[in-house]
Amino acid sequence: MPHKPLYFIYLLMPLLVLAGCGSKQKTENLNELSWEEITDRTEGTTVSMMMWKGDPNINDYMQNYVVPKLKKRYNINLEIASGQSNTIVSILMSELEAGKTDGELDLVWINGETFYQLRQIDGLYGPFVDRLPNSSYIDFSNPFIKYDFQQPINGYEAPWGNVQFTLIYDTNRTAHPPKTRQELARYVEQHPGSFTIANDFSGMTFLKSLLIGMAGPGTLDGSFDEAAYQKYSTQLWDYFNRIKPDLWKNGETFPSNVSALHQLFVNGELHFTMSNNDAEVDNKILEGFFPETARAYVLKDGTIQNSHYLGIPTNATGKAAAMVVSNFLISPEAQYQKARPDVWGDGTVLAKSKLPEQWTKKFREIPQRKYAPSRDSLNKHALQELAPEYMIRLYEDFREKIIQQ
Amino acid sequence: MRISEKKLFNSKPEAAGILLFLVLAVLPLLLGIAYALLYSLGAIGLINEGLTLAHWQRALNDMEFWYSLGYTFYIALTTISLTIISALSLTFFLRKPLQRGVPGFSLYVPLALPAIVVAFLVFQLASQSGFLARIAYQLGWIAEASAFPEWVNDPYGTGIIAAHTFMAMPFFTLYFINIYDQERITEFSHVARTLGASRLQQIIRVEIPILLKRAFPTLTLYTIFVMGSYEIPLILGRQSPQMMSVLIIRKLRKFSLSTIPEAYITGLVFICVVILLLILIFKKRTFSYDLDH
Repeated sequence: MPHKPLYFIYLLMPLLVLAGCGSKQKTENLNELSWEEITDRTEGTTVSMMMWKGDPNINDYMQNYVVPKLKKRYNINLEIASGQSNTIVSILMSELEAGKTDGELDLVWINGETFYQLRQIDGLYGPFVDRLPNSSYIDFSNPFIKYDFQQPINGYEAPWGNVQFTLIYDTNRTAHPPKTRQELARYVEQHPGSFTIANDFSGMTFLKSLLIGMAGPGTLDGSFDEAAYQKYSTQLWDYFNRIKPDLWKNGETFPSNVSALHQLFVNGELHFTMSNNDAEVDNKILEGFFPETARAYVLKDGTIQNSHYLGIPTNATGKAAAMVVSNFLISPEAQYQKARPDVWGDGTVLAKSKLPEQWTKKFREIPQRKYAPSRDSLNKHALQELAPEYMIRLYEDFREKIIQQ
Repeated sequence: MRISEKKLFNSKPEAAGILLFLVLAVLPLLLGIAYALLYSLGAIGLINEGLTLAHWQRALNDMEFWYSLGYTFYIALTTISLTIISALSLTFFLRKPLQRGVPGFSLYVPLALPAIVVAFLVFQLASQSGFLARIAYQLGWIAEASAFPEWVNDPYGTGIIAAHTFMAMPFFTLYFINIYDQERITEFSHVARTLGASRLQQIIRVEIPILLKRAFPTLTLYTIFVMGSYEIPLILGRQSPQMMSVLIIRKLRKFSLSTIPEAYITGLVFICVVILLLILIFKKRTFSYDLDH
């Protein structure tokens, strides 16, 4: 019979086996390769992309347009896995914490909040954007593209699309929707229980628009300013606490996400829902989920406009192939297809002035959406995202000063 | 001459079996706990900056955490009490019909539903724009949908408790019926009746004590299962207070990465509380299902 200490060795054995499993990654300097060499080398490879798959239109665009095109043109197999930004962050965090050099993901769909987190943990590969030939068409002079939550993207993520926050209402129920926050407060008072926000990204983005409205445009730009935040957030919570008793469920609880908000809007419990994507109202009406009388609009003080991006994890095994995929996704044809309201309706990140003539024309003649204001008119009310710390504080304070009150 | 040697295991297969259990079940759990502990102390993790007690101080000073713990106990204990009452009633009054035909089969239906489906069912049924509210509105009982009582996302966790009870009640009814037959409770009751006990006395003094004593370990484990549930409180609960698992996931996946250690701490404290309770409850009992103990 073995002595007792030997048991510990048995117990440790699986660990030792696991420890020996780490594979060695061949490190190749992609900067030394020409674009042709990159496309040649990535033929026949597979790229695993993780993205939010909550919208049938978006899934359809990826699965039935992007995947076959990539296969045909570059012989790259694009495999798309479902995962929201926090899933991406936790996967990458645990991989990096475990020292895994051959990561599971090659390409991720992210925006400001995730970009901030991934930069914090050095999770992104780059700079790679200026290596993509199609990046020459991107409108980098546009602050809504060049900065992500006030952080310069510096080539660590490729701009993919651009959207603006809108409020959505039903013309059958609400003939004259409130256009300012004062009018909104009056509306809520007259129609108790008809308005609320989701305790998620969309709700916080709405609060951020109100905050900027109170501070005045440009006041909160740049890095986080504690004093300014204190000053204007106090006004924001005062405003919110004033309307709180007349919110849905007396403001004692809030829907946990924007899908729940949509559901309550469709059910008739709420008169308003909201979306970070100005094309969503058209999409949802085409799907038959929203009534045809639904319309999107923005408050006079404006709403947040932001871009979403493509990033390559620092431990991705298929960095080169991920670059080829990114390059295709920002090509005029893929961007045009994506911008069509009957496909996805996502705003393009390409500058019309930089595009070849034939594409400028095509983009100009793109069919207009029906239920949301035109992009040009939305642009007049576009507010830039604030530094990420504002979002963190809004989440915390919303819980402390509103939900737990 | 040595007559006997004290052995750790009776046989080689037994030793191998226990070792396998330790390696496959206990070891990963211990490693997980150790990892969470190191993470919460700042010893590991990408954003941690070295050993510190700051995360623990912040987590334990957070009132939300304690409210959540209390709320979790409230939900679990209420669920299990309602389950016991309803399952016992079914066992006493409908035992015979429930062992045959459609009623017998119908008991198995709720058991086949995943928690998330039950949560959605309850939501669709009992929310203020749900099925019941619409019927009440059509019948003219309420003037508008919002006049319907708040059963979902409400302060008392009515929806959560209803969903859990719906899932647990059939299970415990079947379980009690089985014990009833196995333990020959009918015969004990007869003896009591011969000795002059009324039907009520038979139930209270003989049948309930036997059933509950026999079902005690399962009831305790089920209570812990309810305490750790996720989907049901996620869909039917409020933003505050939240049940422990919902709170943990929220802290784990917050925009600010700095609350990840707090999520681990919440999990660790929860584990400690559960283990402590199990020790206290089972201190004087064995894990045997025998009535003799």
